[in-house]
Amino acid sequence: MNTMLTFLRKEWIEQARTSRLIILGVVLVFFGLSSPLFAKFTPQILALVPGGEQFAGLVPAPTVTDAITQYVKNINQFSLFLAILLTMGMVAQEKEKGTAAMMLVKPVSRTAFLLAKFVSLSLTFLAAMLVSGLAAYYYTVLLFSTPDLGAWLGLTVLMWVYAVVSIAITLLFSTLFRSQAAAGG
Amino acid sequence: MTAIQITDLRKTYGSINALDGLTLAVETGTVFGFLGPNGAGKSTTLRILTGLARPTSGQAQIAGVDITRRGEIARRIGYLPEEPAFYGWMNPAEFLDHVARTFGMNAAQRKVRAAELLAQVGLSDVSKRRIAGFSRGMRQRLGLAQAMINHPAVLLLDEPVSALDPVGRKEVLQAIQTMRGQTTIFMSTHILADVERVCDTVAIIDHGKLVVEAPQAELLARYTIPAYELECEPGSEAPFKAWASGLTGQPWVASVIANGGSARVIVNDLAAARSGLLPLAAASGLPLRRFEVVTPSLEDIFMRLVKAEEK
Repeated sequence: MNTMLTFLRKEWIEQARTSRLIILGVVLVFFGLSSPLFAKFTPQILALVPGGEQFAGLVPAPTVTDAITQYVKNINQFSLFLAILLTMGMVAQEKEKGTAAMMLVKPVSRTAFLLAKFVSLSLTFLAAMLVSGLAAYYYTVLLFSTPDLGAWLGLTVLMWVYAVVSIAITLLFSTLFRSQAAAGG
Repeated sequence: MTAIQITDLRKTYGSINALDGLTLAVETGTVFGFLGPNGAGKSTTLRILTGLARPTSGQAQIAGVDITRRGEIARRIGYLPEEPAFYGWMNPAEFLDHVARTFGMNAAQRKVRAAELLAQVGLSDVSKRRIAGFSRGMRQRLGLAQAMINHPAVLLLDEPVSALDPVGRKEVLQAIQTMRGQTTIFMSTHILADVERVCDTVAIIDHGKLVVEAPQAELLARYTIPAYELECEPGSEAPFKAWASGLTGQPWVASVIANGGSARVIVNDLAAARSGLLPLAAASGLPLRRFEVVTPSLEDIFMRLVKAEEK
């Protein structure tokens, strides 16, 4: 348990110093904020594009459902993408570079070593997705109507579970393969 | 008490026998040089001892603990791989702190031990610099420091100086010297000069088997070539050659190989030669440039043994 905490600590600091934390936060919050915006203003945007006026009339007036659909699509897509990107090197890289060999000859269990990576990344995703969810909720309320906050959070947590599964699978492949690329693919 | 006991260790990778029944004992407190040509099985032995690889068969104990008990072994050893790798975004103090945490040391212990080791390997000045910018020699010294963090009973070093330039090599060997007496040191290498400098006991392995194991002094004595080498100043090669060839008349001379301005006199009685040869040389009146007892280097012995093994 203690070594688990040691490695969790290391993973946190690593995420912070290698700016993974920031990238994840910025990307997810951006899509959280922009999804309702795009849903709302797509007809206007189309109207501004030369030759787009004819399509603008075809697009039905955006509703709160459009905002939610946009939000779910974007966050799901990007959290999957980022889960793979941020996880694929976690073990493969340590094996390739040799840091895994350095650390695993210490009194450290393989379980603690791997679990620390999984837990740290999952919690980072949870935090980033909650912030992004609240951002999207705020703009939806501003631009459309007020959806049920509890349901909205439930939706976000479900998407988080989806991301966590992607993290777990990528981590498995990162452990099985030597190269990052194979793990990501 | 033996620090490391290896018994009939075997490791096969497919059809290749990396280790072919290696048996070896390392005394506590020695600096043990584990020699062998590339591919002899040195790294494999170290990886098995650290628990990073499993033997196909055979056994090994470190400080009396069987290597299958990984957790206990980990607390008794320090390991420096051939190419130590670090988290480049950490600085040395942070890295040592991280390693110390895995041993469950408290904050005060960690701080003291890290400072102590950084001073011992000469990295105190750069303890706040990112490891990513370190030279190979600095990495190697940091690797030594992290291996020593838990006061290990046995320090396992895999080619600690092979990839370094002369300055880096000297610094790392000095750092290893300072650890003598604190722990048993088991270092693999193929560079014999380094072994001669720091090791007191030597084992030579080849094709996964032990060729010879002995204290370094004993090994050198056992393979001593009883011979003298003489060389004359330029200009007097002809009389020198004649004089040297005449030495075969002495009862303690086995043979003489004269070659231009130098001669190798192989003797069958070192004591008699010691008292007899120098007066003869002086009496000849020839201008000598060099007069010395041939001492075999570890390299000569290594080459002879490894070649004999191949035949």
